[in-house]
Amino acid sequence: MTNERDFYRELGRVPEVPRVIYEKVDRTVRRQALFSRAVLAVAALFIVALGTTGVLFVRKGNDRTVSPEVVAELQTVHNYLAGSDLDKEYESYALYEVETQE
Amino acid sequence: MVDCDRVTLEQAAQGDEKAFRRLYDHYAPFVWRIVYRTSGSDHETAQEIVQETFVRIHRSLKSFNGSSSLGTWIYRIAFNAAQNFVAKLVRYRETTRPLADDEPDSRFPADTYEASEAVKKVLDGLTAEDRFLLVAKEVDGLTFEEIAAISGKSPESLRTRMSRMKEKIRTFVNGTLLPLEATS
Repeated sequence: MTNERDFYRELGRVPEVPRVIYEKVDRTVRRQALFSRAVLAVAALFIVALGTTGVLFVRKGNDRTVSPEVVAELQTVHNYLAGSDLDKEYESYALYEVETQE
Repeated sequence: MVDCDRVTLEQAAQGDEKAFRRLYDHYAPFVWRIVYRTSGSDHETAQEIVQETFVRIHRSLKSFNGSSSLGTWIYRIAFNAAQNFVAKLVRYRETTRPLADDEPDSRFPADTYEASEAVKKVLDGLTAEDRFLLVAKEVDGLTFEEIAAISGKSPESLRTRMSRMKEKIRTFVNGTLLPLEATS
């Protein structure tokens, strides 16, 4: 090292840009692109699957009508479970007893 | 600092591989030089940083809004990547013993070994920012304004730092061998 000029000349002397860098960049970019496409494809597939199974469509409660027979049956079951039909039953039995006594 | 043309930039942002290759060929030599010197002249490490830099550039090209020149933007990414690496390296060296590296670098001919060792010693005594400043200014001829746009420092402070750094380098190469310290 003799003078500053040598120092700065040496500072600027670096090896050539290795060719392998671009190949690696290209490979990484392709892999990332492939990965994002795969993620998008899976997401799209998921949305389509949800769509076809009807999960995505939110139905309003009054969109559906239930037949009166089913309503009556459900009401009966509900009354039985809740015990609200007991009074009516007592009345029926009472009437039955009165009728049999007569 | 001559920028790549607008058409190449737009084509590369649209995913044109040839345009991205042109962009790479245009900026890679400078990015390589800066990263190589900033990261301590380690071939493998510099390769990894440059690779990471261009992968980031490719990913972010669409979001480049033109608020600065493309070159400034690219060099900022490279500068940040190199700086992050150096910070990690410093932390690593603080927790482990320093690597013995007294063997001559086989990539350089014997007669330039002394010069390359002097450069290495000088760079080892500088911060990543100062290394970047030194190479960008003295090797690639960037203006203080351009370096300021990349590093986020004011041109005035860069001028002062450069002046101090050159003084220390002058002292060093003139044989007094004073240890170099960060100029900031």
